[in-house]
Amino acid sequence: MKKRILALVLVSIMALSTLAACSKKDTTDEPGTGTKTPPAGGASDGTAETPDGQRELTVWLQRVVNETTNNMIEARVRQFGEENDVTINVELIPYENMMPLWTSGIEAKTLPDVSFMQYQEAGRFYEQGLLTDVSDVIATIEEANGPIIEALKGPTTFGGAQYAIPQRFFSVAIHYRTDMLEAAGFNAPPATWDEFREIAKATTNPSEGIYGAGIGLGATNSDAEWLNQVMLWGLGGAIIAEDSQTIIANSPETVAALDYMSQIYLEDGSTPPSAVNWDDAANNTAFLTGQSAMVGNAGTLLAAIRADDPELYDVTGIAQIPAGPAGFFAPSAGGYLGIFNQSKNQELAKELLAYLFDYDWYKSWIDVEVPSIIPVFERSKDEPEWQDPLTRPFIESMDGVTFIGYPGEFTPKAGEVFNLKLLNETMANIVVNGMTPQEAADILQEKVEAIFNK
Amino acid sequence: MRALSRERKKELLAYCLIAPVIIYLIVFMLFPFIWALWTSVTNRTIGGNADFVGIDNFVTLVRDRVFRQSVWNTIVYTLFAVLGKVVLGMIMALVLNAQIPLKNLSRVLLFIPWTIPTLVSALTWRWMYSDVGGFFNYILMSLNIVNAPVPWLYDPKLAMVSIIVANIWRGAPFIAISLLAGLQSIPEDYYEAAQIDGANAIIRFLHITIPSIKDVLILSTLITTIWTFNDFEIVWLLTGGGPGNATQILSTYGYTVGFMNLNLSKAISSSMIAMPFLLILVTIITNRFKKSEVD
Repeated sequence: MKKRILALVLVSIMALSTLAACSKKDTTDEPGTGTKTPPAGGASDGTAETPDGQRELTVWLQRVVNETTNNMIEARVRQFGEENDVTINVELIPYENMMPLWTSGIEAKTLPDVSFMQYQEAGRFYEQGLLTDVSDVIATIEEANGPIIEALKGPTTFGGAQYAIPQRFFSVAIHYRTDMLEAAGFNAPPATWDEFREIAKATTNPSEGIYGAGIGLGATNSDAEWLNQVMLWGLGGAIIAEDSQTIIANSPETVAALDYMSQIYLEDGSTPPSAVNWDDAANNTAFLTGQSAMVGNAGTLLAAIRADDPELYDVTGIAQIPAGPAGFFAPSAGGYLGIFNQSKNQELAKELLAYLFDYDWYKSWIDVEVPSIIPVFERSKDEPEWQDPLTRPFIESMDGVTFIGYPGEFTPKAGEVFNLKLLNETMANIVVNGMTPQEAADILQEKVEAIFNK
Repeated sequence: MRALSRERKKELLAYCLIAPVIIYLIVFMLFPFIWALWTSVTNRTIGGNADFVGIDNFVTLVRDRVFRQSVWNTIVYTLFAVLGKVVLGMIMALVLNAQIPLKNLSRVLLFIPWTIPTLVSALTWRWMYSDVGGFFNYILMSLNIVNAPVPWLYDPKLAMVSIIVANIWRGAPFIAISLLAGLQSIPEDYYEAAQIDGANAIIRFLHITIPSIKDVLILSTLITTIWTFNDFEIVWLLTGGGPGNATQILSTYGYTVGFMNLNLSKAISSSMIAMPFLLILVTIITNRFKKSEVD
């Protein structure tokens, strides 16, 4: 018996030692917050300095399709490191992969110092107390470059302070096939959603695999969520009321709008059958292969066509998102840069942000991707790159840019509703699962209320 | 200090030798399990604090239509995929155990699906199922069998069938390799004696082959059931759980809730609900192994 006890004690000590070693993080409680801060820096190993004492910054940026853009911004960040004797850990990550990484980073307290984010995430991170006030950096940048488009600062301004800096926007416009529209008897792109439906029906020819409306649904499809959102607003529907608190997802106006939107799939049959489960890339493919006559997309699609398919480029037209009875609304898919407050090198991180907005470099970086990326400065509208008929609609769309939460203010809760792609799910409930618009809207109402009541 | 007897030294050495395994089990199995169990009864979100909420998460899950659909989809997916893998795996094993030309090459080819990374095979299947330039639709339309692309991944019912087929393709080689090992251990004399007694191929299969490989068959089926039940990559990469949650299974549901919606406790609770079923399977497998050792 004694032997067993001895052995068990021995094993337990070894096990506990291992556990203790595993959990022996040099963390400190922050008074009043109940959270722990890593010992230093926001670098992935939780240190602000490398073992040889050099300062260190970890930066997560969005990886986009255009490698030149990726290379330019990575080189710019590294250049900052060299000029300021800072060790740089920079990673370029596709947007759809960022949420799991942020999630892990929050849990493990291994967030980067600086990160790309959209304003929906910025709202969520602000609510969790994870972001640093960057109002002073914005002031510095505006002093040098002139004002940032005022509307873009709104969604990341909380309590009068700014928590993320607008870096670039992805304006969405209708890409249409001029040849297909002309063959169907239309000489101009749709200006309203009624015209959109009419043209989509006229250009649809299932026997040739052509569908007029290249719009889709999908559980992870943020492009589709945006298009559904602006269509809903344009048709007079909304999820959240003007007071930013009342949920009106099953109001008669919203139900009517959902009914209208679902008819494009069910009655008109002008969307490809696969559209009910598209991912973000699928509408691009549909347009590039001639499956769809019209798709709503950022300028990345036009840039790809211009680079790879001159014949298609010649028959591609660009128009603003159609307006509805309630007006014109454009998606506000925007990229922001923020600093996580776990960072122990916050001043250095702020210097890096200002460095990334040096106007000459910034313009050269944006110019690579005109019209995929929209600059955030007022003065950019007058730059020659944006005067072309194929690029102008993208920058003009910024006038109709509408933020999640409309007709109320953008709030982190509204951002959460968007991130869950609940509108896509609602449309799928009608189009795929056979629910009535009212039934689907009631479920949407319940889900959004649950988020707001948390 | 009294010197330790030889027996004591031996026992101490034995405990020291098993200590790494015990530590491993405590650190990497028991501790995470207890943590997960605790989290499932809290309202913990990613980056948030955890307050005890009892069985609220489980009640919420049971009331959640999508979760209930995920449970049903998981059962359908697992049942048909395992059935398909066992049948196909058995056929593969029998063919490869027979005297056929290019036997070794056939065996290598057979195992390719199992050796390719799931990511690659899932993306290849996605291309094959695509309605734009996809392999299956191209063949069917070229042969004038259909006049419009078949919505393999976009029709709710077809999507489930499509992901099951992909899973069967990927998982059948495991069953085949397991059964092939069992088949090769059956003495040829048995078949010769049965043949002399007039037993035809079906009788030989039912009365000699199946009883001889019964243990391997049961074990490999149980193991593949657990794997299929927990499958994530094929479903996520092919359909993302859509369209309209038609292929949403427990693993994709948990991922969406945990990593997309940041609701950690609900995601863990959804996994916990499946645990009793998996524990039963694991217990059966363990008992089978014990029985095999005794035999």
